[in-house]
Amino acid sequence: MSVYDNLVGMEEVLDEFIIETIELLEAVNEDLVHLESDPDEELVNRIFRAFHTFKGTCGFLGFTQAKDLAHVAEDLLNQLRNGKLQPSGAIIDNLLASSDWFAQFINDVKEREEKVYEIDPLIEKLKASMGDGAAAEAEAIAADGAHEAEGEAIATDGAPAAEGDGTGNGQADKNEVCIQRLDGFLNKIETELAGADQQITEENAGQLAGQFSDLQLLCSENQLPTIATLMDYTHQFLVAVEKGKLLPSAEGNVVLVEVLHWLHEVLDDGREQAELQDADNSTLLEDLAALIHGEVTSAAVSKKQGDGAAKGVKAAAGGQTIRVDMERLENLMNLAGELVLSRNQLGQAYSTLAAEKTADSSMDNLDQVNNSLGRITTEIQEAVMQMRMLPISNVFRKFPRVIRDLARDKGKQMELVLIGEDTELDRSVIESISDPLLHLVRNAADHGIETPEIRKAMGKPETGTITLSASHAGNHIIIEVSDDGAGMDAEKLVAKALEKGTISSMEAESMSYRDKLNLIFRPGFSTAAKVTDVSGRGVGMDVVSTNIKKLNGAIDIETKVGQGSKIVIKLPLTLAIVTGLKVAVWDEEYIIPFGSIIETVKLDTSALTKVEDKWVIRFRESVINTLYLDEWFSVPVDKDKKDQEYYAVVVSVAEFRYALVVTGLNGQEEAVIKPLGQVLGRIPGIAGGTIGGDGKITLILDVPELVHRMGLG
Amino acid sequence: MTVSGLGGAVSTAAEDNAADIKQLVIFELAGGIYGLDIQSVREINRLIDVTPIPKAPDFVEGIINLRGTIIPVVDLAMRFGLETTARSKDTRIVVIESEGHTLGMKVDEVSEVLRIKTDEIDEAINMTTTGIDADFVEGVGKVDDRLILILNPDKLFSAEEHLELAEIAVD
Repeated sequence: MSVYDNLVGMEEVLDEFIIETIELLEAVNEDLVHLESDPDEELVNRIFRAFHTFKGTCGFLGFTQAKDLAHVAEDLLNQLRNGKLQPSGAIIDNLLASSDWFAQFINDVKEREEKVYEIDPLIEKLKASMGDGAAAEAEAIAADGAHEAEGEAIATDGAPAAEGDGTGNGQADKNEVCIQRLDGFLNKIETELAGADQQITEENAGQLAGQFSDLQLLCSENQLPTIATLMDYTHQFLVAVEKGKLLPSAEGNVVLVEVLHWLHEVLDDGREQAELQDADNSTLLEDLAALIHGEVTSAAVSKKQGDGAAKGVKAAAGGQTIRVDMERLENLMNLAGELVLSRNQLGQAYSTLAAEKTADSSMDNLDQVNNSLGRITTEIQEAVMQMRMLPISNVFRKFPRVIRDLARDKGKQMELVLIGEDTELDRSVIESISDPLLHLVRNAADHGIETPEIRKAMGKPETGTITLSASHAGNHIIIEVSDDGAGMDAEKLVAKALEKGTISSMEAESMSYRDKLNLIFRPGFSTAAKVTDVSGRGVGMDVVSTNIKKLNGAIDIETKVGQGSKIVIKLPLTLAIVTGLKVAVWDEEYIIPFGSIIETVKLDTSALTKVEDKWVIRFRESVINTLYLDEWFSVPVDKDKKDQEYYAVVVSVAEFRYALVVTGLNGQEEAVIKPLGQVLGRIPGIAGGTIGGDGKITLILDVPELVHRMGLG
Repeated sequence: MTVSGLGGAVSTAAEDNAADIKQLVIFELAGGIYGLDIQSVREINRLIDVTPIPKAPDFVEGIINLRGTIIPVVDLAMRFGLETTARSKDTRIVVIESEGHTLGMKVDEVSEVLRIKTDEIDEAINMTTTGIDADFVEGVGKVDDRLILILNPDKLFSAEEHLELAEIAVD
């Protein structure tokens, strides 16, 4: 029987679990990397809480292996929390490995796949990390008193260092200690509650939750698993209140009081019999589960108070958020697009009317309405666009981990500097940019940054710096990946390409400096002598180039041998609305997206030459391929018009440049892209159409497809 | 023209009647008379601004803006391999639903909506005389000595066009 059979009807809970876990894992990765360089108590607590949550939810949902792993990781983190262990590189490695395992696991849950995982080696590693700590712990304990020692040693799950310490009357002592500590906690909790009129509030819930978390730990350490579970539920309930997922309620207060009451009973029994007995209280458990469940089911639209899980995510600063289905947003986006079109058409109609009619008060009214409708429409459109925007930190945040792993792996020293993490761009763009950026960052770390010895010999600081920056430029976002590493030697690239047969020697001769650098984007071109697991994941620079091309973006390389490289990516902010240049091709008009455009020049037709059937033009020291749009689109040409002026629109597709020849430049246009109707399928070189204010359709060029089609790309 | 079959409270006789009767939108194309089941026709428009599409198949006239949605318009005569008539004031675009897609068909003239009894439609006909691929002809109706080719909208753009369109889409 599959674990999912038990979860029928709980898809929502499961999906919520997946989303939350993914978010937590991202934060955990980030925090772990931070922790290594900056052992901060708050970071440890946050990671601890995350694993604690994993443990609880996985247990609740019946994922035993995940629960077990989380449990061990939690134990390890608890030792970090108590200061019994210091976050060494090895410990961070193991914790990161656990986080990776969870990422894999969550992926499987997403696919509703049930697997048996090989987690024992990982658990052993985690336990071994604790083993180190247990030894250190034993020393600390010597000073601290034997009672504590016994209790904590058992917590390490029979780690060898602890086993030997068991004494004859250990059991009785243990009980004594446990009862005392339980009593202590109860007192603290009750004082806390008394101070708040026996009410749970968002303010005190966090404090209370922490105490119940400790209680749970105490209970599981002392072989009281059933009580521990109840403590865990109480903890989860309180965390939900703290985060604002659950509102403080009378029911909640009552249940908490009952829990405390029951604990007193357990304690009293324990004192009487001189031994604490594990006890079961299913009613309370159910009450708590109902409370927590109430939270989980409503979580799809839950108001989530930023818990600061992710440093640097500014939305976390107390802002309230709501999760919305992407499809709904997409729909809203389309409607806003329609609204813009109708607004434009109304404007046009008004102008026509105003030209015919003499002004009177009703026309004035119409004018006003028309104006305010226009303003509101623009605002709605912007607001909807805004909703789809996410800060690029969503992508950036995973890179510190990448750099850290690579540095450890390669024996290099490097530092990652992130700039402009708050820069926002469309969600769809974020998704497609993630992999290319990952590859570029890896590349910079793998091929760019030299080993410390080489760097020292060159008189550079031993620690290399990789800078990842994002910024806005008009309707575009500029992302730069730069390093202060070895840089690229254009001639070496050419030699390499010749050797591999990527280019012919004839081609090599006619290449500009730019072309030579761009060789790295050719398929099958890799300057790494050996395929490492870094660059050997089947993702090459050519894939980076392809992805950027798909996004209507451009790539540029700047490099100096010995000083480093910089790769500049220019992307449109959104894919749904295109800002473009309206160009005339005789009597027809087309829109070329600005994202592709480098510049426009008035064309001196005598500068054009034909090479092997294709027109080329010399442009800024490069020879670039040229396409007459009228020829390509078979536009009727007015042959009699002798002194027709021509313009070249120089476009860039990823790293390549082309010139498109048109007969006029008609200004900027904001276009909502619409498909041409499914019956037509895709027309080569046309991305779609847009409906102008006059109701006319203008076709939008798909520049990458166009150059691909003309056999140039 | 009677309005039997409309509304729920009609007599049994009228219902029988309705089942037996088809309403056809009748249009002309290169001198021939064609009919389309009114169920599949969304609307009929005058020939408005058609934006030509470069590199599209020949029978694609272009695209039009149908209240904010872009739909393709095909030249039906071209599709049938008939002679295309020059645009006139009678030229119309018949907007239909074909296999779930909306598209417009340019025809020479839309004349009327005709009610025809289903038993007046001959489904098994010899196509050699019509010169039109039998696939998208549903049958031939005979009204007052006029022969009407009744088209099947779902088959209009199947077979070869789909192939041709698929080629565009793939590469």
